[in-house]
Amino acid sequence: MSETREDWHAVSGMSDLAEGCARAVTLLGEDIAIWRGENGSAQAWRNQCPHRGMRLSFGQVRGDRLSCRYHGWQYDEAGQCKFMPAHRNMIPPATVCVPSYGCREANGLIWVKLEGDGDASFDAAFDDVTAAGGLETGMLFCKTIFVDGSHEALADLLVAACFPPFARASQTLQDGGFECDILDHGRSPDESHVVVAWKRHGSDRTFSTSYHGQRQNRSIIRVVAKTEDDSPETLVIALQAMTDKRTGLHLVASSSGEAESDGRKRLYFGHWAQRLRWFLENPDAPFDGFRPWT
Amino acid sequence: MIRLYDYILSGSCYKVRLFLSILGQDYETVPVGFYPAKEHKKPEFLKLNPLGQLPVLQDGNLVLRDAQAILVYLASKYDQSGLWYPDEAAARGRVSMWLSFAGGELMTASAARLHDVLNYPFDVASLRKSARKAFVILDDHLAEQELLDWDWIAGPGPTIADIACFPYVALSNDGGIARDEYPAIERWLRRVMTLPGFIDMPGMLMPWRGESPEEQAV
Amino acid sequence: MSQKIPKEETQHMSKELDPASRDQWYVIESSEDLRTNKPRRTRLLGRPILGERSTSGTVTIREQSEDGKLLRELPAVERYGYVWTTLGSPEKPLFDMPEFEEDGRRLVICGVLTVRTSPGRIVENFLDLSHFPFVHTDILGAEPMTEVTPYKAKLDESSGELWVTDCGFYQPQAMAASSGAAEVDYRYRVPQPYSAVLYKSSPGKADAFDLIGIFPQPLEETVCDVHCFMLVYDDVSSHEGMLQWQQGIFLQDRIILENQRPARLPLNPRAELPSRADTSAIQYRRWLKNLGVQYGVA
Repeated sequence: MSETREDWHAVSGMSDLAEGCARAVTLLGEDIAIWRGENGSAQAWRNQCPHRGMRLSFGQVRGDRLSCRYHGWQYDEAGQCKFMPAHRNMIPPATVCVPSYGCREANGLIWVKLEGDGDASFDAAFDDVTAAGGLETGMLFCKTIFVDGSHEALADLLVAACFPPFARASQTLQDGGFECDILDHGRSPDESHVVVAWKRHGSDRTFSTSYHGQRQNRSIIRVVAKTEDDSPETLVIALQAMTDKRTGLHLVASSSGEAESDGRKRLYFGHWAQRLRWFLENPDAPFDGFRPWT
Repeated sequence: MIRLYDYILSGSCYKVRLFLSILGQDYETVPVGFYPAKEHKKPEFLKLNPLGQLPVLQDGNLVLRDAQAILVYLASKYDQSGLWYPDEAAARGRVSMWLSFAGGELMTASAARLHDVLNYPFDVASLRKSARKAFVILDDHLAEQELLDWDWIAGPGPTIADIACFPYVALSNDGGIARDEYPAIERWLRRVMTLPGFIDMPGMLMPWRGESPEEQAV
Repeated sequence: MSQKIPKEETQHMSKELDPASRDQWYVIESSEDLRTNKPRRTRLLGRPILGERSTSGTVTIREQSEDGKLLRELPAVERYGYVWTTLGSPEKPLFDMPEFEEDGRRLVICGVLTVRTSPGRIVENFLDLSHFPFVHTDILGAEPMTEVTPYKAKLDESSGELWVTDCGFYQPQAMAASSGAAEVDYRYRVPQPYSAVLYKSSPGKADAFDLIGIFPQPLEETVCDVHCFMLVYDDVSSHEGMLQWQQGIFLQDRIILENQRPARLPLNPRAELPSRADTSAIQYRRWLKNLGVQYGVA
């Protein structure tokens, strides 16, 4: 769909692209090289050196330049070739450059836009999302999982899903634990959210959590979990449509602003994501907390 | 003098070459005609290792097969620090667990490579599927270790478990397995590649070490 | 003993292949590895073929249908340690390599390695100098000795072969036998679009050349079995030592070759951006275009 090429899509957690690294990501069937130089900002380029077609994702990052692995041609962050080792005293012609895509980092994720105008549209694209409280500042990247399936099918499934609880009250976030029993689950009468009754292993106290899953735009799902008197806990799942048969799911949670507690939250959602992945790979398995609402 | 029966393209032999380099230990190499001669399947070699596999290490009267066993021996005998194969029970258990993974689940990536490069008649689709499953397990594990401030497979420091798991992961492209979906593995590979005494092998792509003086164009 | 093949089938078999690709000589196996009771079942230019050696030593090669039916017999030539065949009618017999008649050289047949790319990409990589410091670091080249001095690439009018001459490069370890760095002279000969041989200063004998040859056997347009040999002056290295050295060099190229896009060699001069160091590639692509090569090109 041509309009999705003009959307911003998440392709990686920010912390999954370290300085001095380059790797490949697939978005809407395109082979893209993402890399980060010593100046710190992430770049997203067509994954093909204009010289002999070598995939630049295999390149070496040297300072603020990406060096193609085949003949060592060096490109600066603007995609301009600055050095051809076979001709050490020549300034490469301006025509030797790598096409780049819009690339922005926000909310713990790296976002890429394949077509249309670049940076200017980023804030506009997320204005309504931010206003709805979907992508606040200070969000914490937790984990990316990859599954077979189209992002459309996965989005539908996730919006209506019933998840195991993630809530402060459960203490599940405190100790990275995951052990709870689902006692009952159902859709609210107005169909706007899912309600789950549950308790912790080894405790008699029952909790009730309501999940409000919303599709923020074509590829962002926001789930707010509200457990009784607790403040709500937000989880955002940004979908990366790699091909029509494979999707990346980038999980971002709200940051507490405190390193140790954020660390525990990342650990918790790391496990949670692994369970979600297992569920998505085994859709016929009996209900154990993950379930799409049919 | 330690003697290593070796094939340059073997990731298993490379585990031993790599660790010997890290230990700074001298040794003699005996190249064995793995391909196309299949020397390792012939009677002369089978006397050394009846399984017909490389690497084989000879140290004095001791003859050892199996890359993981060789790593255990070399660490026990030659590692002055005692860190590569730690004494402490839990650490040793963890190292052993991942040594088994290296000689077990990760060998699907090795087999896919043998199919793709040397035309071994395997069901490569099935091998790649299994290898990816193993890579997901390793990636999940490494990501979790990082959250607990442990940068290495079996603990806070590098051990022979890292050496054993490294080659066939680093060479996965040779077998048609890309690593785009394993960012924690990519970070760990880089840590291994920057260990003092690290040497590479054909098919491995090294990160820039910022050493060579460049005369840049004006 | 060719079977009588219906005319429609011969037309179908040859129809899709351009003559320039079809009428070349291709290696399908080394002589040593084609043994009695060990046939070579493989593909050539997308067609299944079967190579067999009888108990008396004679080699027979036949094309097969997809379901294994034996079709016409193909020409078989055994030379230079290899078994060659063709799907068409080459204008000339298999090219000469007179160095094989010379005394003192050792022949190393390096074994078949499979690569997922087109034969043209493989030959072009073989002709390329500027990748040495980056792909074969500290062996065939090292930074900052990366400058490629001007050299010549020319189609020889009498033989019709492409020759690349006056190449030189600084090499930390030029061959298995090398004990130190050297300035090495190179020449390349491309007797057919999909075969190439290089001549480089021999560390084993003064004023002499070692040969390395590469004969990609296209199984499909973008999958090749690569046959490689060395014919060298070397009194120091073991056979296995030389063989593994060359296999190592090839594995370093392989990860590059498998990650060029597109895999088919682009013949349009505007498709990719050459520099002057790519003189051989420019001439090579131009030559393939003029010959009308279509198999494995974009």
